[in-house]
Formats: sequence, structure tokens, C-alpha cells
Amino acid sequence: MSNTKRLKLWRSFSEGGRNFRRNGLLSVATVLLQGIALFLFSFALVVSLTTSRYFDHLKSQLPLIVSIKEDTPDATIQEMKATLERAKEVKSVEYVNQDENLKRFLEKNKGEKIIEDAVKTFEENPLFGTLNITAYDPADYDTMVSALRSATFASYIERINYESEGSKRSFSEMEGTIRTVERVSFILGIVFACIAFLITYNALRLTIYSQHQEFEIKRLVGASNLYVKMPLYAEAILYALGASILAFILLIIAILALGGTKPAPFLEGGSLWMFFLVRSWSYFGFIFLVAAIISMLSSSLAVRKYLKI
Amino acid sequence: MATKMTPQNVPVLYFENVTKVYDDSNIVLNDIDLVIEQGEFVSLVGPSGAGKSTLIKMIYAEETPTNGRVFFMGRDVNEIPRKHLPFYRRNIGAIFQDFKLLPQKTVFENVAYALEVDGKSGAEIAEEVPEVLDLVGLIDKATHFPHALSGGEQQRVAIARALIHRPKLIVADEPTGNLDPYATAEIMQLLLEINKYHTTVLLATHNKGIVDRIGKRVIALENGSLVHDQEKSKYFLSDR
Repeated sequence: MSNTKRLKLWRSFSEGGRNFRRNGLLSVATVLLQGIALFLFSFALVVSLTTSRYFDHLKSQLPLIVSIKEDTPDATIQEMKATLERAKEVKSVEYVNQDENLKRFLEKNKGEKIIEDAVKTFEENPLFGTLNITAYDPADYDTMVSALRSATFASYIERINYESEGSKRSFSEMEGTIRTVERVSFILGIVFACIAFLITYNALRLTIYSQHQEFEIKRLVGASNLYVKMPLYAEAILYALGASILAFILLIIAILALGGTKPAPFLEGGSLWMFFLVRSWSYFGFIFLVAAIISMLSSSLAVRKYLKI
Repeated sequence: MATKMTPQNVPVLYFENVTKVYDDSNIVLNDIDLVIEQGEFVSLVGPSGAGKSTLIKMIYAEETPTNGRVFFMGRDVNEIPRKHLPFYRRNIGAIFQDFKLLPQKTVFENVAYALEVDGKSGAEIAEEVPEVLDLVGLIDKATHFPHALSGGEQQRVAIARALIHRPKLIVADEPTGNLDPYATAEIMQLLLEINKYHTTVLLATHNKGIVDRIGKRVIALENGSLVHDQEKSKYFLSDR
């Protein structure tokens, strides 16, 4: 970029800054309103992200349980385990034999007299040995079940928990909740982004109206159209910057106020606050980028419609 | 125009059979054919609605002719690409009845703005602006805002801004319309002084006294037509 162009760009930004200051309360109101809209937009995103992570965590706690037929040789079971561990979707495979399963079952239902009495009525252990499979992404369970049913050792499988109606319902309800949260967050995000757009649009419209004589004069002394418009774009960017800073501060307050420091093992860092802190620059950058895009779009539209040069 | 045009003898302005008709068949300018040479001082007179402002707007390409062409220094104004118009307008210094100063800028900044749009550096501006303020007698008021100046002083700021690009042509549209007689005399004296340095001046005015006192070329418009064009003339009033 030549020195002249750099100088003109600097002058445009200076003038944009002067307009921002000159507008006084209008600038304050614009930054406040846009900041609140941006905060709500980014808060909706944080809620969506956190909810999604939480449900992913819950799903990962529900392993795929493959019950092995009673007469399956040990070597076959170990081979099955090794084969499963090699699959890229599989995070871990645990083999729990019949006796261990019974022990865990009784431990889990300790104090439930009915269950304890029912187990005692069986002469033999009613439970099966199981392979407990945890996937990296629970969304792969469907694929994994299909693979298991078509594998060479499929004949040794008694049943798979995912195939029961109850388990499927639990998974699909969770999926449904996540999708709903994401959809609502997306819609709210769009709504707040539109609000931010309108706020900046009106602020620029007022600036153009209040300075219409100045624009005429600038054109008369030979200012190019871009040189006349640039301060308006600079003013829009300043609104975006102010609003981003405000939105970021409000986001910090909201996270802390809503128990962000409480333990949340499903998030990196162990809590929402730490999760946010580690990525704070990225969050700020993202909020500013969204604000800048909205501001530039709205200012372009306002300039095109109302600035007659 | 039989004489071969060189940079020295090319006319500043040439209106070649210019007609302007608005949508409602309102003929604002009717077949105007006139030449203004470099270094001339021309008074453009006529009643309200005669077409003076439209003619002036055609000079800085704010209006386009319905028929005919307008040439500035031998160049057809209407063939200038839109994106180059700002650069073209820097060749013309414009002065208006309402001064058209930027109210939030000081005298210095108002004049400097015309150089800023040209990308001049701070150092160049610091050198050139005081020179031109000195020329118009306002160097002591460089830090004043327009609202703190008299009408005559404000118009002098406008003249300084018009001069800063060393234009070939100064267009003054009723520059003394809002001024008292003393200020009027000052402004006219300044314009005549500028003209002595070979800058062409086109003065649109209703003021008979000014035109008669100047005694220079007078072009009169009436109902969009050119009715009088004479060197060393007085204010033209048609028999009505």
C-alpha cells in the first residue's frame, strides 16, 4: 500500500473516531444495544456448546454392552475383544465375566431386597459375561452394532443392549434434546444478530442525515466517493469494537454468575470458566468478527441507501 | 474553433450547443454556445430561473447536457469516468453564497481538507495552507471555527479552500449574496486579485453594482438562452 493510501486510510479512521465521539450519547446507546445483542448471541452459542458437550459426555457413560453366550471359549472372547479394540471408532473395550457382572449388579442394587431375593431364586448366575464397549462418538453406536451383527463372531453374541427399545429411546431422546438446543440457539443467534444489524444501520443513518451538508462539501472539494464513505465504515468498526468488548465482559459476568467455576468434568479444564478462559482470545476474536461483519454489512447498506454522492 | 489548440490557448470552458431539458419538458438551457478563455473574468448574469446554476453545475459535472457538450481545458466533461470525477473537480475552485464550510473544523482544517483528499502529507499541508490563508488575509484566524467569523471572513476561507489546488477556474455562485457592502467589496477585490494571476473567474451574480463596477465581460442568460455576451460590458437588462 502506498504512503498516500496509508495516509488517507489513517485520516478516514481518525475522522470515523471523531464522528464516534461527536455523536456522544448516540454512540453510547448504539454500543450498549449492539453489545447486549452480541452478548445474547454469544451466550446462546456458549449454552449450545456446553449442552452438546454435556450430552456427549452422558452418552459416553452409556457403553455398548455386548452379552456373550455362556459356552463361548475364553480364547474366542479375547479374540473378539482384540478385534473390537482395533476398530477406529472404539475408545475402549472391557471384558467382564459372569461372576464379576453379578457382583457389580448386586453392588449397584445393594439394599434393594426384592432384587436380592430374586437373584437368590436362581440356581445359576442369570447374567452373561459382557464386552463393555465405549466409543469415541456415541453417534457411531448404530454402525458398530451393525458391524458386530455381521462379524465372524456374531454367533457368540447373545444380545446387545443398544438394540433394546429402552436404550434406543434413551439415546434418541438425548439426541433430540441436543438438536433442539442447537436449533433454538441458532435461531436466537440469528435474531440477535439481526437486532445488532438494525441498531448499527440506524446509527449510521442518523450520522449520514446529520452530516449531509458535510458530505456535499467534501464532494465539492474533490473527495472521492470512497474517501467520503470510509469514515462511516470506520465509525461502524468502532461500534463493533465497543460492542464486542461489552459483550465479552457481560459473557464473563454471566459465566461466573451462573456457576461457571463449579466442576464440569465433561469440559476441558474441568469447569466452564476454565474452558472459557483457555479460549478467551478466540471467543473475543469470534465475537468481534461477527460484530465487524454485521457492522460492515449494515453500514454498506445505509451508505448505499442514504448517502447521495 | 479554427486555431490549433495548445495548452496555452485552449479555452478553459467551451459550451458547444448545450441544451438541458428536464423530464417535464422544462427547457433550462437552450442551445448555449460560449467560450471562456484562460485568464478571463466573466460575469454571468440573469434573473432567477435563467439557467445560471444549471450552467455552473454542468461545469463540475453535477448535471449533464441533454444535447451538446461541455469542454474543460479541451476535455469533454461528460466523458470523464465517474470514478475520476473527484480528481477532475480539484481543477475547479467553487465558492457559494452559503460558504459551505465544515462547521466542526477550524479555518486551517477547512482549507487543509482540500489537500487531505489529495493525499498530501502533514508537512505539505503545513506549508501550503498558511500561504493561501495569508493571501486571503486570514492567517491570524487559522485556529478559529467558522461560527466565530464574519460572513466576509467565512467567504474568504471558502476562497482560500478554492485556491489551494491552484485551480484553472474559480466558479463563484453568488458569493456576495449574504454579505454587507463592505464585505462584498473585499470579496470582489480578492477575486479580481486572483484573476490577475491568470486564474479564470466565472462569477454568477444578481448584483448589478458589482458587474458595472468590474467592467469586464458579461454573459447574460434569459429563459435558458444566451441573450448577451460582450467584453467590457455593464449588467445586461433586457427590454421586458
